[in-house]
Amino acid sequence: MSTVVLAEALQKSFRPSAFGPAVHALRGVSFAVERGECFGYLGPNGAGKTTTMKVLTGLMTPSSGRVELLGGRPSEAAARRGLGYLPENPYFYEHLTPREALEFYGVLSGLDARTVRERSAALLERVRLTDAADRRIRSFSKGMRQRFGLAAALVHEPELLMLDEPLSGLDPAGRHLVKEIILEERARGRTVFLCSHVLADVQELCDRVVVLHKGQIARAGRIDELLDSSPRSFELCAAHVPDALRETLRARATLFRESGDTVTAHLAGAEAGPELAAAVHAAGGRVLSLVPDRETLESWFVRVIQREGPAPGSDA
Amino acid sequence: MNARTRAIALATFRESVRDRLLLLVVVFAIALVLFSRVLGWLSVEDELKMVQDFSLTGLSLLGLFLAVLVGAGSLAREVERRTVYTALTRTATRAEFIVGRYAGLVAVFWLCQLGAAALLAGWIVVWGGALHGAFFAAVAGLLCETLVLTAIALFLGALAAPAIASVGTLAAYLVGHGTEALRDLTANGRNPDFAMAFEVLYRVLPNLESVNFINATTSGRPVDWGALGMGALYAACWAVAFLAGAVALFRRRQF
Repeated sequence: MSTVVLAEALQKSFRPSAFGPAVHALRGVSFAVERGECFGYLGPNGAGKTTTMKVLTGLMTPSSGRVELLGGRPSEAAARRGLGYLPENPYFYEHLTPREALEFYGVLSGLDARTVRERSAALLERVRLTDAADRRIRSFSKGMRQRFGLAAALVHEPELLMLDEPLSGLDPAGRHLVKEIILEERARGRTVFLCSHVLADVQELCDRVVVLHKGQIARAGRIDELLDSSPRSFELCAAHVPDALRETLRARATLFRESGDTVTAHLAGAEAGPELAAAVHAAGGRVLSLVPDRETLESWFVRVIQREGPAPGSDA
Repeated sequence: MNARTRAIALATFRESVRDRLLLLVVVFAIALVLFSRVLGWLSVEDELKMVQDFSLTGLSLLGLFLAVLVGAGSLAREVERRTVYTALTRTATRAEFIVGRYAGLVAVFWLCQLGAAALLAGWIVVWGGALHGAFFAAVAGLLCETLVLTAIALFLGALAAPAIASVGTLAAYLVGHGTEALRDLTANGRNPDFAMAFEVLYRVLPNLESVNFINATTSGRPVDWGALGMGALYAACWAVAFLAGAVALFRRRQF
């Protein structure tokens, strides 16, 4: 594997007003993104995620530290050739149509206009914007802009996709579509750098995550290693449960529901669920489902952020 | 101009042409040309001379309004709307972005001025006048003036907030048309301090009178094409200098 994005001891400080105190947005952030992986960059609001992305894409220069993007410096146009960037809440030239805007972004990415025109139709179809291809972007809904933004990021078939909140403002169908496209791009060997607050989607899409908190890395690692894989509880759904066993379930469940002949019990702990499911089965009842409740990225993330608290020397 | 710069220019052109603000400014210019006839009727001198003089000054003001209202806030709008994020994270450099933006704006402004000039030409012909070379020289001079004003607007837009950039562009227009007269007024040696100050201003700021051929047109003097050529070269040099300044400022910008 080769490194596609490298950040070493990144620091970025601002002075919002001439005489005000400095704000340290990044305090020695280091990480590496390897080719072909889907990398999640997480953090609460104000953690420094967007600042990191701006530094990585060359929109900002770091106060100190080293950045490498596709083997070069982000300030070098050649290094950005393989980058497809979708900023948060993207805005485009409002009076252009998607076709015109795709041609614009394609040419800016080094393609010739004819190649872009050839790709445009398929790309607009892929993000379900064919019907709106000749409408001005000004009339687009937030979800349509988001989908167009993804098309614009993909127009030059970049090897690295850097997506800041790509699922924001999308309806369920739009979210499904964008996730599908991200997975397809991964399957094609592209590297994805994903920044999102929708942690269920990050868990579904990413291999590895970094959690940024107050400008510092709080946790980093593979999702399957970071999360506790053992079940925390089970939800048992069964039918035709004998009365005595039904009472046992009621007594041991943290949540118990009955609907006709069917009972649903939420059972705490890693053992109670399988044990009582076996008992239902042995007593002639029918186990309809036994669903384990494992730690999610969201619950893990909340736990990490609560544990970390304010960073030492924080300006906030 | 490479493909990326052309693409930025084309996007700027399309975006500006479809903007309602531009439409308003153009309607104003057309109204000004049509209104010139009323002034012509009121004039004690040659009516058509008045129409031409007033309308050509209107074309100069059109260039100023476009530079102030569209050009000065152009970069700030890009940053505020974050369209700059999706453009500068590609292979386009910041210099290409500024030059492309400039070329697109100049193309739109020239289109507006040439459209208004064509209307004026038609207007003059309709009222029985004739078009001479001096008219075309005056229009060419105005286009050169727009070249400089747009570069100043972009430079100030890269340096300061849109309101300040607009005021600065307006000031550059007024000073640009005034320094030569002020220098000539104080050149009699009676007040050497003022003379020195105006001489310095004349040297360090663009002298827009060098491309102003409106008076020559209406006074009926023959066209000095050499002066026009030199004026165009002078305007181009100033435009390049301001553009270079805008590029230098924009390169340092953090988004």
